[in-house]
Amino acid sequence: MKPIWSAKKALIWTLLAIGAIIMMTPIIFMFSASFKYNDQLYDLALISSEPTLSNYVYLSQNTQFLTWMVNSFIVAIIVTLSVLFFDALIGYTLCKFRFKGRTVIFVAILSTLMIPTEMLVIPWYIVAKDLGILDSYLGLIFPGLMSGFGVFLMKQFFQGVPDEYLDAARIDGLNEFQIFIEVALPLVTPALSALAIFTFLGNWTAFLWPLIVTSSADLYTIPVGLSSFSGEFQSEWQMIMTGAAVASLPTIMIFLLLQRYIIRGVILGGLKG
Amino acid sequence: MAKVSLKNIKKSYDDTQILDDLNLDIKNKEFIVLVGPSGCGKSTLLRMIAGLEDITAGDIIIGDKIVNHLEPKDRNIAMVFQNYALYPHMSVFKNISFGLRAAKLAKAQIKEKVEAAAKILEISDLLERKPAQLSGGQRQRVSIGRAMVRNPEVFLFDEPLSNLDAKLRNSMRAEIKKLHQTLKTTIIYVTHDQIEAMTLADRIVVMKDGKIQQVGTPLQVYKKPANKFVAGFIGSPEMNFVEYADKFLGIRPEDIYLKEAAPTLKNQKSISGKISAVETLGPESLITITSGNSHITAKVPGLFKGKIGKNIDFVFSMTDSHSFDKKTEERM
Amino acid sequence: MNKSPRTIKQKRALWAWLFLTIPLIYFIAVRFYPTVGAFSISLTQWNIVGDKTYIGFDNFIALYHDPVFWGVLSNTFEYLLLGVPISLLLSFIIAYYLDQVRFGHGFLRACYFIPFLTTAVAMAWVWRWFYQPVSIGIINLALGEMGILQLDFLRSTTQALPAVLAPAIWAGLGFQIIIFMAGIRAIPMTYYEAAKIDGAGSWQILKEITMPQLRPTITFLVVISSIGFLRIFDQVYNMTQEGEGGPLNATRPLVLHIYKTAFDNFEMGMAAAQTVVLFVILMIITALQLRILQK
Ligand SMILES: Nc1ncnc2c1ncn2[C@@H]1O[C@H](COP(=O)(O)OP(=O)(O)OP(=O)(O)O)[C@@H](O)[C@H]1O
Ligand SMILES: [Mg+2]
Repeated sequence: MKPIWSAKKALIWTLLAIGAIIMMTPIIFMFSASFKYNDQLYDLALISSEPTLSNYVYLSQNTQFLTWMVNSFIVAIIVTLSVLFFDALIGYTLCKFRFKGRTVIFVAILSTLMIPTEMLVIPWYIVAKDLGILDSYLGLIFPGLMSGFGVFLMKQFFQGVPDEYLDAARIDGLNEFQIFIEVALPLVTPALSALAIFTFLGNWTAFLWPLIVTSSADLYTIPVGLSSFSGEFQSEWQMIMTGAAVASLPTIMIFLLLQRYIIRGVILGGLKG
Repeated sequence: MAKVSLKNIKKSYDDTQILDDLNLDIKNKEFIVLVGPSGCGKSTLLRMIAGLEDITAGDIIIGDKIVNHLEPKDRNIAMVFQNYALYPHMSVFKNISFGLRAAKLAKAQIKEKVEAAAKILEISDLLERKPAQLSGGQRQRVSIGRAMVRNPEVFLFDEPLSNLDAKLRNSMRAEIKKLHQTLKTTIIYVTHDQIEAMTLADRIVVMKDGKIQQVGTPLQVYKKPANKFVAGFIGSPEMNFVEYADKFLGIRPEDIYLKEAAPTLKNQKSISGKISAVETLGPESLITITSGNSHITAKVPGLFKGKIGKNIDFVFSMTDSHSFDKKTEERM
Repeated sequence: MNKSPRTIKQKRALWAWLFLTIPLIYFIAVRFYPTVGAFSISLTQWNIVGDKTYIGFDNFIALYHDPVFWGVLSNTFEYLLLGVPISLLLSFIIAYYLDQVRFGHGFLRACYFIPFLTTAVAMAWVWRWFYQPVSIGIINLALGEMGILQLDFLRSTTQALPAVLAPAIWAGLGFQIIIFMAGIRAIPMTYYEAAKIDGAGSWQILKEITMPQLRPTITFLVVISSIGFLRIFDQVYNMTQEGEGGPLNATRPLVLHIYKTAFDNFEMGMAAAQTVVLFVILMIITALQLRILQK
């Protein structure tokens, strides 16, 4: 009985490990190619005989990757902070205050989840054009400043916060905004981090809207920049791979640092959302 | 300095009336306990006094001020909640000092007050811990500390001990009693544990369906319940009731004796019936007999050895019995 | 006149409206108004610089008679019908077995999960490189060394669509695996213990306990991943020549078509009509799935 079992387990483990290697192959090859010269690319060896940083040097000196990186960070961080603050505030208000119109507002906000972004990009583009904010940071960030998903998630989590916590603070003389910031928010940090992960990731990798709204290379985010760069550098695959590596590195790094939180956050956000 | 008066207090949510024309005068430094079945409006009343709920009609007077429209922080009250409401992300010190920091007191003054409260509550060693690292009893002390540092004239407690196990509850009860004697403030205390009510209260307020049934000292409420509800609610095990002519006759289990072990009783009456249940509590036993279609429970000292189904005789004194009008259920 | 002070209820309501003012303005301006706008633009002919002409449902009628549009729709459904079953089956199998593995669990899980965190655009280019003909593309290089015939991948009208779909499935797998594992973990152990005592085999346990218990998880993942595949864009735009969705429109999905119509041809009315079609498809598919799966 026993040996058969362990043989089966070993087989399962081996298959899973092979699968894991396959999953990582594109990422590994991407990084590997970024340290190679063009003429070494057809060599399947992962680490080339003479690894080079020249691609990275070239990208940093002759292209705007650094600018795009900064742009992506600015956009992703502003949007994430805004979503965290406003979605938490809306979710909190809809959960903890009783007033006329509460349900209507909640249902209305929830219904925005059914509208695909693709449907909104055309009106957004027209409005941005009329307001003269095409090709600007404001143009990049305005569609994402609040999200129905986050409101729903936060409302769910505030349901688990007993009202006594808020009442105790009211007796201590805090006003409602102070209670939200000092008492309510710290009680839902797991939800906040889940929402932060989803929002940051979504904005870091966002492509369609930045592609539409930006036209000058100075304002590209990293996916748009990489796409346009790669279109021009066809066949310079080692360069393209270096760009791709640069684009992927931040999220992978963050994951390696905060693995536990991120997985928990994805589960929380996925299951409650 | 702080008596509390409730004058013609009413409360309704939309169409449902929760509190109905409530009047109560609480003396300065008095320990008042509100008891009543779940949903009778105890918490609502307490929250109205605290300023957390609107008053539909009537006046609440604390000290000599009508506080109907004052913010909670301006009412000179502090409140302790059943679930402690301690912020998990703050240390004990931060929790206790939360209100003081909100009021922007000087650091040194905050420290002094927190330490003084901690000393009284014997939690000085715990100030740096987080609530998660405390036992239930310690948490409740912290939340009392949090109320104490505000130097309130009135303490409001909403079932502060009901999350604790029986043993801790006993010791915390004693400490709250002691605290009251040390602090000399008015306390309004909600519970549905009648032992808490009997041992802590200067006066007990028994409520039902948003109405006050009786206000009185524990002894008065126990000895002279104002109506059948109070009689049944106070005392454990519950008072026995027998329909008798145009009234309910009530007799407490502890006033019933086994015939062979009875002392001399004035105005003695006897009941006999079949033993239907025996519960042994240790120092005493509860015996329930069935007589006709009524069940009567007696509390007798020591271990009872009678068999279920056997016939047995009880005696009691009519002087110890209570009569209530059959219609109004009021004491006669 | 002595105005009576505000009640607590009124004060709370005031705070609530204060908190909600900016959000309400935002949601109206950036979600509801544009939604209405998309519907109304869909009834016009408009090249963005000139005037809008109201043309009723002409755009929709034109779409109905447009073979290219039907081709695009059929591509879109092909992504959906291949992507959802393949990715769910793979992720369930992996999650089911990964859940039983203790040794190296965290490491294996990380390997499966990391692709989810990558940028779709970046990975599209990596896969595009993989698919290149021999001497450049890794896959054909490997096939060549094994002496197997070469594949055309992105250059073939039949292979291109699955080739574009692959990185989309690959990137989404990690999320689905994590969610499946959380779902499996949430099933109370007592169910399994009871089943074992009843002498159930592992296949029977999987079929009669695990799968039914996972129903909410499966429903969630089917709906979410369907929406994802129906909206595929980044991969197609970056893996096909000039982002055209070729060869010969063989890989062009609806969202890319919308993008081209709106921002290459500036036919805003027509593009808006296409987004309305996308919206209707998403609604119908989601509603159908919820109805079938939640029964
Ligand atoms: N916000 C509200 N809206 C409507 N009805 C309410 C609200 N809050 C309380 N009630 C109702 O008021 C009644 C009294 O509630 P309250 O919490 O004061 O009871 P209680 O005596 O404290 O009970 P318990 O012993 O269970 O704590 C209950 O019937 C309750 O359903
Ligand atoms: Mg209560």
